[in-house]
Amino acid sequence: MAAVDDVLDPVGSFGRWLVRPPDHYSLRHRSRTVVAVALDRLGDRPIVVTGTFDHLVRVWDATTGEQIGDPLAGHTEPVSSIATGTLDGRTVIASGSLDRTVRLWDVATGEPLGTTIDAHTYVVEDVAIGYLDGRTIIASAGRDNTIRIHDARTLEPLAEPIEAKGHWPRSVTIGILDCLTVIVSGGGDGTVRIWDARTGRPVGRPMAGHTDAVTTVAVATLHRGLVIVSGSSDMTVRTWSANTFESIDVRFIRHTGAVHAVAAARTGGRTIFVTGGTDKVLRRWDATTGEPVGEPITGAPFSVHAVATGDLDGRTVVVAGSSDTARIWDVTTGEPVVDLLTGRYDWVRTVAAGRVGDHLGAGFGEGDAAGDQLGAVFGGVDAVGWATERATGFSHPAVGYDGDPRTRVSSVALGRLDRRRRLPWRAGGAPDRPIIVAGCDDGTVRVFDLATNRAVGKPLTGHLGAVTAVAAGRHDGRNVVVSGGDDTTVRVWDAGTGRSAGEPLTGHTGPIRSIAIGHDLVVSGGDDATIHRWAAGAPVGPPVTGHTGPVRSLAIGRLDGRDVIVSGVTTTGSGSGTSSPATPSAPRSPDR
Amino acid sequence: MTVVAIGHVDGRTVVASGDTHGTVRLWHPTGPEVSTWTLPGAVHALGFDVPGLLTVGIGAGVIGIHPERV
Repeated sequence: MAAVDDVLDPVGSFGRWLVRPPDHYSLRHRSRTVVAVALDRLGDRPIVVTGTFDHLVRVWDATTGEQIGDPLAGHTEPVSSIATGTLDGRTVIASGSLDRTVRLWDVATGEPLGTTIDAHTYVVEDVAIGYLDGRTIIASAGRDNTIRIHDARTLEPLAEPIEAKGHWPRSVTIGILDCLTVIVSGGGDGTVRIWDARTGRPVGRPMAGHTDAVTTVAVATLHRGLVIVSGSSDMTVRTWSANTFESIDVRFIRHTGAVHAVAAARTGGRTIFVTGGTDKVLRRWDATTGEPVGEPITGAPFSVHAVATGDLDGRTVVVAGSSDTARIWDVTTGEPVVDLLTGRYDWVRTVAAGRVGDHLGAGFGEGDAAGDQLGAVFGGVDAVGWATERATGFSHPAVGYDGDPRTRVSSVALGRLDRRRRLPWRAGGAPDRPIIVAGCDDGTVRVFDLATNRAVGKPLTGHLGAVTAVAAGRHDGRNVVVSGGDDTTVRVWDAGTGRSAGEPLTGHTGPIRSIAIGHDLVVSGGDDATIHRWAAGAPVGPPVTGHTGPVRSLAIGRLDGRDVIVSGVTTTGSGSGTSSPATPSAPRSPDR
Repeated sequence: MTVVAIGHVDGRTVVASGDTHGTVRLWHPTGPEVSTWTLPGAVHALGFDVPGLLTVGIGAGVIGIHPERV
């Protein structure tokens, strides 16, 4: 095997090229970088809570990755920290923010509990939930150099603020030390400190050793007593005995970047620490021996800002928050379990790549770009966009920010309008320009002219449910749009007139997930694990079977002088519920 | 999810596959895997729209890869 690159730089310094959405995209949507995560349960349902730069707290089903309810809104600045716990039998979230406040939320209702805690005079760095004398308490660390403790029921301070002068607390957690509830803090001064939660007085002496700020702390109870694990901007992870205030073990392998997050997990009869940071890698350590556990977990697209551990369907898992996304991994195997669709991945649900011609950007004042170009079109919650090496833009007058917020783009394709035909439904412009075809959750297929950034004609209607797959191309001597939907039908549209070309094609027994167009053949794949072939408005031969999962991707090509279909599927791991990719099948002959 | 494409490199038919972990693989249709790339994000789309160039839709962008001789 001739591996070319281990990792490619996402900014394109590898000599190839990369295009990105326009800058105003991020301004419109604000950053949804996940900076805080927590794992908990809502009744029997495992949940993940994320806090993001867009000021919102979101609750997700940890099994399916789907968001539960609307985002929890109230903070006026980015959320910096999240903690979960129980109050009067309810699962609650405490969120800290750069708006200097701490808010408490009822997970079941999505409503705030009580009033906002004006906790600090400067930004809140971290929050933790713990228990003291039968009460639920919230500890918060602020950049005002204090640690504050509030009663979660009354939201009143339990004691005077802990003046951590010179410590600059950046992270905080709550533990039990010799029957005493303690606050453990990591500070910008590189030390780890312990405080009596009842009195706010320091316990023991500061634990020094890190050579840079301690950005994260966690605690675990081992046979040797309460153990603190700390991660630092100095790229190291250290463990400390809360009983002796001494460093336990310095054998931990360094990260190759600042450590931002650490959590403890119990799995396989032992305690493991999971750490992550700017090197985009999660590392697992045996809390007793300090030895690495398994290979580092890669796959976080950007720096890991937060981690949390918990139980998911009997497995110990870790959820890591990164830029625009959060992902859950199995702690034992290191395998990814589910992605939480946030941020950019929430917005961009579908991408298609291909040739986009030479007349892009007219609607954005770019004028005609010289030469044929490659590019991408992408679709998301409420718009479609395009990007090439030279220009980027949105084509969204019908699927726009001012449109129906329920309109979501499930599938996109690049196509071209027919040069040879009169195009009565076109909005204008020269023929043979590239188009975006978008399949939407509202059952419509929408076409946009890339040159003008305007919709072409009215939405194509007919599907009885979300349009989950689209393709565009030449078929039977004309340009066509082909769509498939949750209604299990495949529809062919004349790209010149916008009219349906014949009756819906039926035969699938589940939603359509993929479509490809060949010279004289249209193929569709679906959740029913079959591939159907169509020509002239009728099925060609029996369905192609053999897959055991939804057919999510199809391509038609030539091999040894024959037309072949290549299919990609999603398979489910046995008993695990884990979605994992399958290797592509051997090409199947259309067998016409 | 796996996305697939079929195209030609150096006059030979090849199949490309990409997955949500950012792995793009190039295969001989009836033979072994010949190249692997690990990209920083889920692969949403693949295309052989220009001879010798594999376009990869990743996140909200596109990376163009020139596969080596296969």
